Amino acid sequence: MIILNGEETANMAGKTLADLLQEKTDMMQNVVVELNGKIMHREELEKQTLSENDHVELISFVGGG
Amino acid sequence: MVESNDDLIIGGHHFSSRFILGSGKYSYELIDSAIHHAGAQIITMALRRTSTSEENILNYIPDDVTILPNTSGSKNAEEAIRMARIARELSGSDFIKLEVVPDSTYLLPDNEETIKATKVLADEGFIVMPYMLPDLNAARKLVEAGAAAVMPLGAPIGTNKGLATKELIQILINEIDEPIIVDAGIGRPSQAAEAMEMGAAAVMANTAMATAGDIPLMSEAFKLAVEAGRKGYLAHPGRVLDKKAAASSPVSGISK
Repeated sequence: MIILNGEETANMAGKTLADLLQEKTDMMQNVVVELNGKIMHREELEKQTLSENDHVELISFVGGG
Repeated sequence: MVESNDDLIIGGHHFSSRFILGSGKYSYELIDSAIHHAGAQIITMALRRTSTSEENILNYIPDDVTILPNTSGSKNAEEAIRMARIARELSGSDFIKLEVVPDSTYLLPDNEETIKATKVLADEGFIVMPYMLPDLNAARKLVEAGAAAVMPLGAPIGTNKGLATKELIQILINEIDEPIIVDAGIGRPSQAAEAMEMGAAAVMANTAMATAGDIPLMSEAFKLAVEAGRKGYLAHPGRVLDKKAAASSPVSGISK
C-alpha cells in the first residue's frame, strides 16, 4: 500500500515510479513526481522503486491565474 | 504591437507584450485563441494533483509563449516554496508568480510570508514575481529580497472590480524601480488601460476573459486597451484644469 495523491493505493510497492506513471497518466511531460516530499527528476523515475507506505504526489499544470 | 524599444523586461527577459493572460476557469480549447487575440507572450498556470480526467493543458500552449506558474493554494511561505520548486521542475524555467494566500474569503495575500518566500526563491535563482497587497514598505522589502517585479492587486481576485487600490498602486509605480504589474481584479479593458496610463509596466487578467461572453474578443479588447494605456503613458497625458474651461478652437475670428 502506498499513499498516492492522498489516497491509499494497493499493488504498487515494488514497482518503479515510471511504472506508476505509466498506469496513472497519459501526459508524462506534464507530471512532476514527489516521493516522500522529495522532487524526483525524470532520469530517476526508471530506477526508483516504491516501498510500502511511500507518499507519492503527482502534480501537473492546470489552468490558473 | 508596441515598439520593440519599449520592451517589458523581467529578470533580463524581454517581452513586447505587456498583457499577461491567465488560463483559469475557461475551456482549454479556447486558450490558443485567447493567447492569439491577446497577443500575450506570458500565460499563467496553476499546479494541482494530476487528474486522470483532466486534459494536458500544455498541448494548448504555443511553444513561443512563456509559462508563468503560480503558487496558488499556498497558505504560507513554506508551501509556496515547495510549489515553486515543483513548478520549475515541470516548466524548466525560473519564472514564478508567487502567491501566498492564507485567507479563503477575500483571497488576500500575506505580504510578510510572501517576502520570506521571495528571499528563499530569489536566492535559488528564481525570477520571482510576487502577488501582493499594495503597500510601499512591503514592496520595498520584496525588491530587497530579490523580486524581479511586484504584482499588486487592483481588487480581490476574480471580482472584476477594477482599480480599487488605485492610489496605493500609484505610489508603488512612483517609488519602485522594478516593473509594477497590476494583477487581480481588473475586469474591464478600460481598467487595464487606466492602470497602464498610470505607468504600470504590465497588466495581468484572467477572470475578465473567463467570465466574458466572448473570450477571444475580450482578449483582443484587453490587448488593445493595454497598448492604448501604455502609449497614453508614454505620451505624457495633458494637464487637468481644476476650474473653468479652455477653448480648443480659436477664440478670435468668429464670424457673426
